[in-house]
Amino acid sequence: MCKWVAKALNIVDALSEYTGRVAAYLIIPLTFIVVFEVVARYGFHAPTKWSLPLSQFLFGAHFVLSGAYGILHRFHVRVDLFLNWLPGRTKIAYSLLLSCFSLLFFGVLMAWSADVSWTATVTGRRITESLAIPLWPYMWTLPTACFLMILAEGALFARNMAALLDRGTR
Amino acid sequence: MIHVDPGTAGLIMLGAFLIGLISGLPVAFALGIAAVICTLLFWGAPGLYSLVYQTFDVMNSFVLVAIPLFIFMAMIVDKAGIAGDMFNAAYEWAGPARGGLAIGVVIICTILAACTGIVGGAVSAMGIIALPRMLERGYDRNIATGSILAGGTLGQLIPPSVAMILYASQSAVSVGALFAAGVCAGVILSALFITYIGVRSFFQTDLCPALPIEERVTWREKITSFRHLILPLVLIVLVLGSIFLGIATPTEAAGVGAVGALFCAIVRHRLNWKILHDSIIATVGICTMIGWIILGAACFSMTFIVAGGKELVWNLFSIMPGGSWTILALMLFILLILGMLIDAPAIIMVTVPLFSPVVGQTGIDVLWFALLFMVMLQIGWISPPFGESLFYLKGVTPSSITLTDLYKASIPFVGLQLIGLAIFVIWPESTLWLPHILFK
Repeated sequence: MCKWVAKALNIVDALSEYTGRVAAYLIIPLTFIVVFEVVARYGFHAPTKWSLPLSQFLFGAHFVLSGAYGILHRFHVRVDLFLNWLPGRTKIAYSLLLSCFSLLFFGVLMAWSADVSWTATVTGRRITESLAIPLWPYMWTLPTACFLMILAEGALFARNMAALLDRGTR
Repeated sequence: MIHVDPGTAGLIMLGAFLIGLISGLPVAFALGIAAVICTLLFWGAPGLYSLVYQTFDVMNSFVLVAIPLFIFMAMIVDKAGIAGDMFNAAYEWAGPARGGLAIGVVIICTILAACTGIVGGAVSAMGIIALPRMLERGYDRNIATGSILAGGTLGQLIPPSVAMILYASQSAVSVGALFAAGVCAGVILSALFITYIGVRSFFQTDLCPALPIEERVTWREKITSFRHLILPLVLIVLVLGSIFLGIATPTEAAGVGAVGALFCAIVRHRLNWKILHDSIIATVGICTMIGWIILGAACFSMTFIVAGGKELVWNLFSIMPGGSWTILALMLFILLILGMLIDAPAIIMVTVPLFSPVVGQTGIDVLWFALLFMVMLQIGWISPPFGESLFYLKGVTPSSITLTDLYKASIPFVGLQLIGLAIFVIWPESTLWLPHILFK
């Protein structure tokens, strides 16, 4: 593998790692908002309008944006019925095939959700009639997450490909 | 685009998913790609918009917000070493009795299950803390590992349970009522495990020897160690009590529970930046895994239902002879098989939208069915060969204990779970009395 490819792949890894960590910390404002609402409602009889939609947004962003981090650390569970039985090179080639399917899923989800999010952005869709918070920053988390996952899975793909070619020329 | 009748379309989808699953694709993406490919086949590219809307629907679900909060709470309890403190208390209290440590493990797992909503945490924690000490004391290997495996699965059944929250989000069953039924079922199963360990160690004197006299501690020390149990118990009462009394929604209770767990850790001088950071990072790993499975499965089941999967399932069940009992038995059997193969979240997301209309029409009590559903998934956690708890425990045990040993150890406890299941089936009121009192 040439040097700059390796470097680019490391950058992608770092991107997955740090977006995952940033997303991870969203649990703190999420906890805070939910507890704030409990105190406001039961302690001061002053429920808020914004806490519910905001907590839902944080919930969505938390797990969606950390998808690439999950790919990097192989958190997404799989059924290893025969993958581990395959001999070395076949296993790598087979992993390449599997990556293609994952990439197709992320790609479709990214393209179509970007379209939906774009419409929401230009029409200025808001959460509800009464609450003037725009919906688009939240909606763009899904295409962004899919893009990050394409990069993360792409990095796996590239490394497997390099391993395959490397072994082939030897 | 191809035009096929609904039955065939459903079969094509199931086939696509099974191939994706066995192929070794991550379960979440296997579900998603099956949905994408079948949508393209049946309706063409415009159909893909509905998948996106379905995805946004999941991201906006109110009930599901409780899941990361309960997981965060579980991770704090886990990383702050609260399980270890509890085991020390159990060691001092129950050690002098034969089988006491294994019984203590089951009791601690029951308490941990009520602090956390997931299975993996208790299994790894007890595998690290309790297993070496039980083996040192000459405990029988099968009882030692079996008690951890069996106790760990209670996390699924005793609220707060992530699986139950997911189930409720996909059906008309209320989270609170299902939680209440789960408490009863969990306590009954826990009692079955304890009785089994107690009876066997009573009659087989060398199976699980008592602690030697010189290692026993004074009453004073016992009472001191007992205080380790107080804070977790307060946390449980706070979280579950507020849900059962209808004061708070599960999401609110989860938020308060997470803060309560932080408070417990602070009181025990166990909270520092590293533990907090580790808990946050561990939370996101589990949440992204569960979350993407929910997303993939939501896309899959929507496509499956639109393609005619509901009719397919309905036809399958209606040709069964014997009426509602056969249907129930068949459903539970399917769940048992699925439970051995794939994750609880994926099973719930795929089967609940299909099963619950059938259940509704056959006149089976939906809450009772939901509980039996949970018990089946619980059995799946420790059934050989693919039960996930077996692998969690294998991950933390010394290499002298093989997977085959764990298979052997789990079998009697799977049997006990089946006895529990039989009790819940034959005598529904054994679990439903509490939800009937609380939510009538």
